[in-house]
Amino acid sequence: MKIKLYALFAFLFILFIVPLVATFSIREISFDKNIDIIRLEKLSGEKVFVQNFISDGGPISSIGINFRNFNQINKKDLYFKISDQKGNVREIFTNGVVIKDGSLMRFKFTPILSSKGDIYTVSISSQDSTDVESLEVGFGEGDVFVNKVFYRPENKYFLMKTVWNDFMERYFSDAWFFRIYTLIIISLFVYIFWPMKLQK
Amino acid sequence: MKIMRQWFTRFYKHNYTMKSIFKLPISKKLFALAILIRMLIMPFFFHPDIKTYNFQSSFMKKGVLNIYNYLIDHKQELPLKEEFVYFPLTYVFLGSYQIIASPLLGNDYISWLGDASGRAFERAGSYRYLFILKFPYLVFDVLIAFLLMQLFKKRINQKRAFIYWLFNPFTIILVYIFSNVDIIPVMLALISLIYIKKNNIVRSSIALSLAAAFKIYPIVFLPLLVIKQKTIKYILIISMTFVTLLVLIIIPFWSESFRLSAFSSGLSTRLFSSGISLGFGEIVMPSVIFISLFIYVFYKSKYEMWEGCFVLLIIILSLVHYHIQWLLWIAPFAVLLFVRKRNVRLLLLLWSTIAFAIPVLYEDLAMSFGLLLPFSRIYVFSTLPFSIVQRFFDPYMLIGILHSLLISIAIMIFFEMRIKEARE
Repeated sequence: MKIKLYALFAFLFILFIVPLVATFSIREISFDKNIDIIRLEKLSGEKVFVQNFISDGGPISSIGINFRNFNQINKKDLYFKISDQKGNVREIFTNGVVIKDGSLMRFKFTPILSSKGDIYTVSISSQDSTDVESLEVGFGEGDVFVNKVFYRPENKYFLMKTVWNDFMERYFSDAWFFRIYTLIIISLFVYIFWPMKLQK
Repeated sequence: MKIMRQWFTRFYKHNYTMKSIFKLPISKKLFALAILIRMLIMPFFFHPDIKTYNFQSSFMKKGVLNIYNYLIDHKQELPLKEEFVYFPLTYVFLGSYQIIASPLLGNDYISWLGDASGRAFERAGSYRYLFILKFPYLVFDVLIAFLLMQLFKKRINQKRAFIYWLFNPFTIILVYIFSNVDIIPVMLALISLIYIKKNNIVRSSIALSLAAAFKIYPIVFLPLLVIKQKTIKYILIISMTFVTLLVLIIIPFWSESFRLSAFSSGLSTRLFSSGISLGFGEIVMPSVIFISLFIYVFYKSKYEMWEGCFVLLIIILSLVHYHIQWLLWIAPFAVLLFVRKRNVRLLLLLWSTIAFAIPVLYEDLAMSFGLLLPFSRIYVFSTLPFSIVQRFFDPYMLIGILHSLLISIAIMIFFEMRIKEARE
């Protein structure tokens, strides 16, 4: 009986403890769905792309934008800025050299604390780029180019709770599976462990 | 039932009854525990391969027989654009199973298979699909446990093999977490081995050919089978049986698409991809050197067939950039070795652990936290083990060190196997 218990606890550990412990590997989350890119626009010269968004999570830690940089031809400076109603909050200077073609470029910065519910403005520009070797920015419907806003989780408990809630929601969402599967598992449990005699 | 009994009677050349073949060497409750553990894992872990090859096999229900042509011709309009890299029987088996299981899978199943949005697990029914799709693996997995017992005479060794197979975490992870369809050719390769033990080389060759018709890897065992024969007649019988059956299965699927998909992927290319440059574009391939060398050693020595298969696979897996699912190929032979040779147990555990650790370090979410996606979508945002290691050490160097260790431990195991020990 001891072997059975050890084996069972080992696998329950894998099944329930590992998913919870694995949440420690999560440093950022996003609530946004991927935008469907419907057009590409060149970012060059005096052109500045601007978009507003409302923060719906914890501290904002990075923002993802889709770029095309064919053959990584663009090697000019790129300026990223995020501001609120009071002024600039974070700004990043980077270069086309680090932007891969067709990639989601993540602009990471020191998390903006207490950002939930606030309105922010993201703007990007690349003044030195010309139309010939410009970066192209992916736009979705409604002139949206910010693909994803990433947030730093408020705490690990929040993530564990999210995992647990998602799991429960999915488990109960399929009534057929829930009934049959639960019945099989409980029957096997009862068969194996009933009556249980623990050795001293 | 009568036909099955006759088949088993012929198979074992004894008057075995079904009851004696499937006689449990452990208590029924312990066996039920092995089933319970598997069932607890089946619906909740996901590797993308199970969705891909089941999506591709789902076209059988629509009457598509040549999946290789179909996937190439319709690549633009299909949501999952991968090619079908398995051999035809995998497609036939999975397609047929889906047809049989379709009343249980429900109407939304096909739409779920084709959902490439990355949010398929937010749909109701995901757990059901994973459970049903993995259910055949459970059957083959348990059958392997019974088959392994047939390779031992002593009851205690039969029991050990049975327990080691059913309760080792490695095969459970490979089959039910990584959703490994290779369990079918693995079982057929084992049947081939049992036939060899019973000196029925034709049936052994048929089983091996069927295994290769699911996935090509068992073809590496054919040279071992051939060179151990004493007469040209037997060599011809084995070779002809293997080739004829395989060709007959492949013919209906043969096309340029089949050749490109099935022969240009996995083992067939990776085996020849590593090399040491001699200059002027010429390379020598360590895998070819060691495999041919071992075949010679096998011919000259008194290795048993299963030992030969084990060493051949450990050479291949140690010398190529393997997919984690390939580790299942060696698992039954590793269990045989674990039972028979105490002196290699520690080395074997070490080799297995390192062999598991290497793919986890790849820059691929599906090899680590991505397996937990059925629990919650937030695992998409997990930091990869690769990136975690990167903070302290060069992950590529770590993979290189681990792979080098894998090779050296494989050599140690080879030498330890030669040390004589009281056998069964």
